[in-house]
Amino acid sequence: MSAIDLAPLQTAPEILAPAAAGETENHGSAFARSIRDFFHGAELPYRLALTRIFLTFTILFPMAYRWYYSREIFSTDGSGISLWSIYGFPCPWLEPNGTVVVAIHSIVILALVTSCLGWCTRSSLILATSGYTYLTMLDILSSLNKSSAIASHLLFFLCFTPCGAVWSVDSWLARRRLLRKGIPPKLVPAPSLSPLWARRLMQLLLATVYLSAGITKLPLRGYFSGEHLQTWMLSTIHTPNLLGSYVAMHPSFVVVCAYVTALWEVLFIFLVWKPAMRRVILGLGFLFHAMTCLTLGLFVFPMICVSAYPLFATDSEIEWLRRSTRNGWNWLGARFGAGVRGLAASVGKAVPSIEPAWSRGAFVAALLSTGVGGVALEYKLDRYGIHRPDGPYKLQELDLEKVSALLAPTGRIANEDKVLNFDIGSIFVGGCLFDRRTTFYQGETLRAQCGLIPPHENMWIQCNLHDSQNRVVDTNGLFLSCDMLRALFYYNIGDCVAPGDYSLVLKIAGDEIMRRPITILPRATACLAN
Amino acid sequence: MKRWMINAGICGYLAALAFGFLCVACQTRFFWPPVYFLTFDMYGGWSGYDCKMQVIGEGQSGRFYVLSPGPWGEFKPYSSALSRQCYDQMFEYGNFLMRPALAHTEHEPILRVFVVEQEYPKKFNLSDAQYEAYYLKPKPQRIYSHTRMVMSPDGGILTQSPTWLRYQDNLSVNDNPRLLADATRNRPFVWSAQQTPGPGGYAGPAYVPAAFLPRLGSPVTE
Repeated sequence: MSAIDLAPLQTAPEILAPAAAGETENHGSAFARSIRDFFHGAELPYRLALTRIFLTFTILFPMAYRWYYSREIFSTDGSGISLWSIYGFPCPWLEPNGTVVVAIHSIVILALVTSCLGWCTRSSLILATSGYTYLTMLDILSSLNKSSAIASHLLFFLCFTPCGAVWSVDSWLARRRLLRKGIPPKLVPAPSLSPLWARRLMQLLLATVYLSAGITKLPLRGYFSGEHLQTWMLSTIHTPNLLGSYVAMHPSFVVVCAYVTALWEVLFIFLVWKPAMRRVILGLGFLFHAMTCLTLGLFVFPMICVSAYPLFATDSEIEWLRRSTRNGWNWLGARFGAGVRGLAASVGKAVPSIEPAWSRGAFVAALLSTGVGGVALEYKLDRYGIHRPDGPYKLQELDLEKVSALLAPTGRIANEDKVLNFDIGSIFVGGCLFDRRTTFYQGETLRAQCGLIPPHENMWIQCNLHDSQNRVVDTNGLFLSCDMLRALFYYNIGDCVAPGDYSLVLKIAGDEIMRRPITILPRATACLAN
Repeated sequence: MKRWMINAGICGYLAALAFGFLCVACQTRFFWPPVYFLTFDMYGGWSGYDCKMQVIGEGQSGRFYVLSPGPWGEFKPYSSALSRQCYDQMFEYGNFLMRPALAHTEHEPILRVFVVEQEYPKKFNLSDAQYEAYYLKPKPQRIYSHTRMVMSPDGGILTQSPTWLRYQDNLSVNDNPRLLADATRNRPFVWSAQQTPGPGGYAGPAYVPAAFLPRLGSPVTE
């Protein structure tokens, strides 16, 4: 909280220097020493506190949203599908009933709130980590995913750190206690130091996540040709997004993004440690996650990853942040006058000094009351409607017409559905048409590209030139094997094609799939003889 | 002592991360719960089709009922367009998904449960205006339905078919008369093993040709 005075940040070597002198720290090779310094330094836990606040705040959203559905998605009273059961390790004793799940879920939400605020931080984090991981493992369909796995790792390491020593209710209470005892503010001890190893492992985790994601994409068919990203951008599986459907229809831009993303993901682990490259790599990371939000509709995954970015902050950046916070507080004080400060001071004086034991007791009481209250509230809300005056719900009946459509024999894919896009232009970038044009001159080469959606059979695909009265002027076709994702047609527009309005018509098995109007203009330059 | 414990923890964690990374890099899968937390192979597959899932029950009277979502309303975990059961990407957990509706509602005896997969091209997700501007024609309303499983009310699988994508892929391969004749002529009388091709298919590493899976008839025509 802002009640903490600024203490000068100490870098790990500065802190270690006195302790290391005369001890065994300098033994071993330079490499061993650098490894030791990398993991066993110490620092003030401001970076960890930032990660704690952002991470728990992020996780709180999906967990709070799921609370009302808890019984249905996590428990044996509903349709909970646990990770261990699908892998063939049935553990019925690990799968709780609805009441237990609701109690656990309620406690986890409280633990996430108190972790974010930093009240009984370590206990809160232990509860949040174990409860959150357990609950997500109970629902592989809609709660467990790779972002929740990353969050579990980060929460786990935060449990080993004194991340509640700064920017927390705990630190505010501790400082207040000392001030009440008459200790001058300048003599209030600085926050305890945090060992580096937990932060280092979290940094390595994030870097490994990016590296694994990059390596996954390298052999993936359709990734570097854009289809992978295009189809994900068009999907509705995530939350609605602003740009996905627009960007997906520009394959050349998607291909460039695919290359940049794969390169950045693979290089992150190697370059983020270099002072010259750190800001570039982290900046690209922000951009990447912002684009996943805008084009794929991802919200929680980017926020979880970005909440680990403060772990890469330098001392000067943390110092700047602390000063900015302090200046912001001072600005607020100046802007709204002494009244706000006076009010804060009078509230501070009115509230008695809280001993650690009282704080822990209140925390336990809050946990118990939240668990019991959560169960009672969920019973009252009655998700399944069992206690309704009308009795339990009746199953919703389906129209027979709809049923026969659903249970009809499986049909073949319509030819129209095998084509994703059909564009005309003249310049290629990354194997995709970059410029979409509708006007060409005699003597130019027209390029038409057709993107296909697998699965499709071996096909004969045609791209014919029709004039304004729909008469076929020129025909062109090619074989496409079932593994091909793209067809490309070239037209050299010679002088035999008179200027005027035409259409390029794409056909599969005689079915017209798409039609693109084009205009051909007279040759702009004189034709040279030989 | 404490330093040694920390060092051992660091080494153990780094070894676990390296193991997870190698699993991803070598495209090796271990079906063990902790491995899920160590392998970060996000977006390892794709499809040009979006899917929905229907779980319906056939009552003793011949009427059909929606079993998932239950009559108390849907839970939409991420997308406002998709209910929870639609995130079952292989359409294989119908036995779990039908459970709450069968347990907590009043209904006639249910004889059979059908898990139906519905697929449509993702390009249909474009808004009507966008679709018409690009494709120069109105957006068709077309969805492909495919019965994935028929189950008994207690969750036992009576019959199942491959996923719709696998089924269509198999159809596209079977379109080759020479290949089909060759396969028919040389088909072994007794299969010694089911062969699966390596990863890299468009549908991700779980790609298995539908030819090797049993095919069920349509329940309507039964």
